[in-house]
Amino acid sequence: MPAKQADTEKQYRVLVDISHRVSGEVVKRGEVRPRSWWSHMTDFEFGVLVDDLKLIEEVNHGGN
Amino acid sequence: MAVISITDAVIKMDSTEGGSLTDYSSEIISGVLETTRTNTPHYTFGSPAAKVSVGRYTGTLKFVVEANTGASSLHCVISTMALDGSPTARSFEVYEPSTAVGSHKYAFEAYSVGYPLLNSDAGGSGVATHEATFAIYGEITYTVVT
Repeated sequence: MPAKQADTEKQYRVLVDISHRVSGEVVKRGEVRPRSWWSHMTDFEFGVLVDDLKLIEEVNHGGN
Repeated sequence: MAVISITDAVIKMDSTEGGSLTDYSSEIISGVLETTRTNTPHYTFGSPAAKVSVGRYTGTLKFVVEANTGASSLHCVISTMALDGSPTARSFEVYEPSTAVGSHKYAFEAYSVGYPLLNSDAGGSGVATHEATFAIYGEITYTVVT
């Protein structure tokens, strides 16, 4: 049985065009990045992105 | 989400041609970034109303500079731009309300197209303010900061 996927390996789909606060890299809507792409953010800040600002969503969330 | 305060923004621009983006927010009193799309109306027989061919947009950035002395002041930077005999576009980044997560970011290249070099008034308030106008060259890249 494969090990449970680590939180840092979860993949997230970008719902609007975004930029990286540190590097300035731009990611277009629809592209997917791992949690580690936002390594500059705490889990709390990251939660705001997903749940409050709804800028990204977890891939496979809701069967997608 | 949070309501954006009218008092908050960050404006960065190249300090020199080909130079690095520098945050000049502490020398800017107010700013407006806007787009205008040129649409062309046309009419067809039997219809009282226009149809519209959607055109392309132009962008303009205006901000009011707190005039300061010194070669590194924003007033000096824009005065130099305004008088440049062969200017090149400079990079700009505009953030609303800040550079924090969730803020809106607009990145583009622009030319200086209007700047009052002198704005003095013996009966004025005592602070010289200068409104700078920039014509945006090419597209505006809009992203949300994460």
